[in-house]
This record gives sequence, structure tokens and C-alpha cells, in this order.
Amino acid sequence: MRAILGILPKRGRATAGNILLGERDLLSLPAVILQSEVRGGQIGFIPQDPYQAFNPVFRVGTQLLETSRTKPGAAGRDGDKANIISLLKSVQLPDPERALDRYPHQFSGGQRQRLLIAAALASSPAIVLADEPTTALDVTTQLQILKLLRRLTEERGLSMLFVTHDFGVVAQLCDTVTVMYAGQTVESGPVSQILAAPLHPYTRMLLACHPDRGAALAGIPGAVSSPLRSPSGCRFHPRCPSARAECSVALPPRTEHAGKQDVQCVLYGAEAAA
Amino acid sequence: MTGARALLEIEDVVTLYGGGKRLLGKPRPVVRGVDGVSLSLKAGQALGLVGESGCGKTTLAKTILGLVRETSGTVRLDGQVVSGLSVREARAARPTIQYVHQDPGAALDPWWSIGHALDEALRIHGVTDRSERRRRVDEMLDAVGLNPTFRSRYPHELSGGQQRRVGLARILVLSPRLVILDEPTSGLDLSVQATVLGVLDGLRKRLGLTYLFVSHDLSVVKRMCEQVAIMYLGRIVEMGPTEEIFARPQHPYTRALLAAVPKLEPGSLHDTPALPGDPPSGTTERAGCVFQTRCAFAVSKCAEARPPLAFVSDEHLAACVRLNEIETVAQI
Repeated sequence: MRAILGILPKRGRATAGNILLGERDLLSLPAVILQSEVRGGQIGFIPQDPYQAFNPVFRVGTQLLETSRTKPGAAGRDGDKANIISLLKSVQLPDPERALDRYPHQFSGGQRQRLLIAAALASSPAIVLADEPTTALDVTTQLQILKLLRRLTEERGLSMLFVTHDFGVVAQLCDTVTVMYAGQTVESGPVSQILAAPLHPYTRMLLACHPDRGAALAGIPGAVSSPLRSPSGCRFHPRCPSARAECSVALPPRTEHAGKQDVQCVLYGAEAAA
Repeated sequence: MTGARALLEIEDVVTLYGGGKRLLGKPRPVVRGVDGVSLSLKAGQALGLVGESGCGKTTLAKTILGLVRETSGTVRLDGQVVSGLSVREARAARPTIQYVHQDPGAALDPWWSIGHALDEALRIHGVTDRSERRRRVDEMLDAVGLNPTFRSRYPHELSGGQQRRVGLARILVLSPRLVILDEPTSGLDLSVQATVLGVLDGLRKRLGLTYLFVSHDLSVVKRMCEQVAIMYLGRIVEMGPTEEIFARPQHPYTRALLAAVPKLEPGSLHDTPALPGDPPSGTTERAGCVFQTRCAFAVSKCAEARPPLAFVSDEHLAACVRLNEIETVAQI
């Protein structure tokens, strides 16, 4: 996610591949363009922790208007303000006109998350990246926010990349899902298909850990390897019950199953080739 | 000790915070942390205490533990009254109740090896024989699924799941009877959570422990506890056998809470009604039902008096004035 936004920590860099937004490869864009057009422009970002995303000593309005002020083509102070207030209305924040003059501590967690969603939408982005935006919230507030996100994406024809570890949230909110393990994608496809018939051993074991699913509470044996000493080949092979000798040699190619379900696992390579 | 007798009984416990006078100006507002809670816990049982952040779960847990002094009400442990004491006396009177912190990683001293941390617990509780302490530490590490080499390791060398096991071992080494688990799996990923829950469940059965399981995760509570109590703003709104509450929730808050849990079956968010607004502040004085401001079923009599917990069936209690009507009203 940070690679998409071009905000990887100093020591990290995307070394290969492309990140295409429309026709442009974000990895080859200069930092200035990323800042002025992409971040907070074509891409909106909703951070994980609504309690830490605001600076406590500045009014909410100052912080929300800052993004649009630094972008070229701003509608001017009053235009921006009107835009933000209309967004605050669409995220159903109570009393939107007065909200801008208040400080972050005067809002509850759910309200702050609404403010952050409004901020992410301020530049009318084409895509919104949401990094576990409901992890810090209670279930009842989480439901409010999920419903809001679903409505906003439908109304505005917005795409959303939603990062989460909660399969229940995925089931309720998303159309497609990609399962990652230790920096590799292992499986992706339509949510209903993957929940009903997961193919990759990791996806299967992960779903079996869900308190609603698993017959016995066991967990996946072993622990995620350190990123400094990643196993060769498929990174899940040291913990995989179906691992074979070739798993440690190379990552198997991605194969397609049952229409749109992509999986990267030797178990399914032969079938697809046949 | 028979299974039928209550290990812990609390009656009408109220815990208030604040209210003190400042040197100048207005007195501090009173926060009604726990606002008249009664419950009992039989030996060997696991009771889930569920509610949103700020509803008083942790305050109630700490009041039971004796770490926070109750303003009024009675706490009975094994039939003995252990309330009305100062914090220091209360802890001394309740040695068989122990508390596992939400984040045991933060509760472990980074400079102390795991063995040292576990050993200290025993030393404080008066086990003077060094070899005896060593034996019990090894035994307990083994019981939570860690081998004896962990004794010389330091907290930063452990994963989140291992730290939770150490946190648990440090408490269990004191042979408690009632263990209060405060959000024991929050912040863990699914796989580690399943492992920790498996360990907790196994230990309870093996050692005959009683759990008070504080959590906001309903799926976890459903899996781990026979009994569940739902809290809202310092009060218990519904309690009873877990199976029955999940199958036939009576209180409107319980219904909303259960409906809000994201289910694994793909569904449409548009069909799930969300509870409007946020819980009101804990400082406001409330006449009547605490939930009326957000309740879809609220009527004028909800504001008149605080509804008592009434029996729905044998062991199932709920506090709502429209208890008998909700089911029919909800179907329309």
C-alpha cells in the first residue's frame, strides 16, 4: 500500500514491476507529481487509527482543508470549505457546519473516522485505499462505517482497496479478495467463491481459525518467518501440511480456477495444465 | 466445593469515578463506571462480559479484582463478603482472583527474562523455596505450551501469541481459581488467536478454572463461554446461557450488537440496520433505561423508570420494559 502511494520508508523501494493507475506507472513518476496529483488527488487514503490521524492542537477544519490548499487547481478557500462541508454531510457527521471549528478530541472515534473518510474524498479520487479503517472501532460503530463506505463507493463509482485481517468484514463489504502471506499473494478471486471454496492451504487454514468456522481451535502451526530470512519458493511451505519438495524451490505460477479464482500453489498447477 | 455453588457473587455493585472537589471551581463530574451490577459465577464456569468500549467492562473487572474500590454493593467470594475494604485489604482478601492484562507484552519487564518474571510472582506470594519455585515455573510453562528454554528468553524475543502465553503462565503459577481475562485476544491475528483460545480452553478444563472473559468480540465469546452478560453504559442489559442469548436475544441492544457482527457468509450491508449515534457520556445522570437514546423500540415509558432485569426463561434475564412486545414488534 505504501508502495502505491510512494511513501515507503527510506530504506525500502519497489524494485520491480509496475503500479498502473489508469495508464500511468506510479513507480516511474517523479516525486513532485506524486505529491501534487496522486496522493490526496487521484488516490485517497483512509488511515487505520482515527485517534492518531489528527493533530490534537489544530482545529479539524484546518487539517481537512490543508490537503486541498496544497493542491493546484484548488477552488479557493470558500469553495474548498463548501466542498468539505458537503462531504461532511454525505458522511453523515452531525452538525457539519460547526464541525470545522472544533478540535479532534471533541469527536468520538466513529465521528473521527467519518472526518477522515471525508478528507480522503475531498479531491474526488478515483480510488480509495483504506488501511483497516474499522479495527479501532466497536462492532456497532464498525457497521455504521462499513455501510457508509459501501454507499459512498456505489454512489460515486469509487474503487476501494480495503486492507483488513477480518474475513467477516470482507464478506460483508467487498466484491473480490486477495489473500497475502509474507509478501506474496497466495489466492485471489470473488469473495463468495473464496469463502465457500478456498483453494490455497493457507486460505483454508486461515478460515478454519475463524471462531465461527473452526471445528477445533488450533491455529496454524509455526510462526510467520522473519522478512529478513524468508523461506525460498513458496513462503508458506514450512507451515504447509501439503508441502512437497518442489515448494521450496520456486513459487508456482498463478493458475485460474472455477472462472475467476487465482491461486499460486503446486497443488493446483497440474490440474490447470491438464 | 460443588459445581452448583457460586464462586463469586456480586450484588448491586456501583463504582463511581471522580466527584471529588477541586481546590477552586466546580467539583469534578461523577462518571458512573459500574452502575448497579449483580451477577454470579459458578466454579468452573466461563462467563463472557460483552459491551462496547467505555461501557464499564474493565471497571467491573477491576472492581471484582479489588483494584478499584466499589462505591457500594457487595462482593462475595466463596460465600465470604470481601467488599467494603480498602484497596490493599481487598486484594489481600481476594488472592484466588487473578487478572490477565489486555496486552501482556506491555505488562512484562523488557529487562527481565521470562523465568525471572514468573519467579517473581511466586516470590511475592510467599513461595520461599527456590527449587520449588523453579519446578512450578517449569510446570506452568509446559502447561501453556512453552518449553523450559523460554525461561531464559526475554519478552522481545517472543511473538505476540507467546507473550500472551507467558502472561497467562505468570497468573496461573499462583494457582488462582477465578481468572479475569481482559480482551485476551485483541490485536492478535486469526491464527494466533485460535491458538491462544485453544490454550485457554484446554487449561480451564484441565485445571478446573473459572473464567470471567471480558471481550467485545462476540464470536470469541460464543466460542469460549457458557454464560454471557451484555453490558451497556455501566449496567447489565441481558444475561444468560450463551446459546440462548445468541439464538433468542431479547434486549434491543443485544439484538443490534449481534446483528452488527460481520458474518462470514457474504451478505448485503444495506439489509443490516446500524445502531444510530454513539453511546451517551458516562457523566450524565440518567432516568429510565440507559439505551433509550439509541433504541429503535423506545417508547415514553422507557424514560420513566430504570427497567430491572426480568426472567425471560429459566436462566435468561433481560432489562427492558417492552420485553414481551419486542419479538412481535420486530417482525412487523
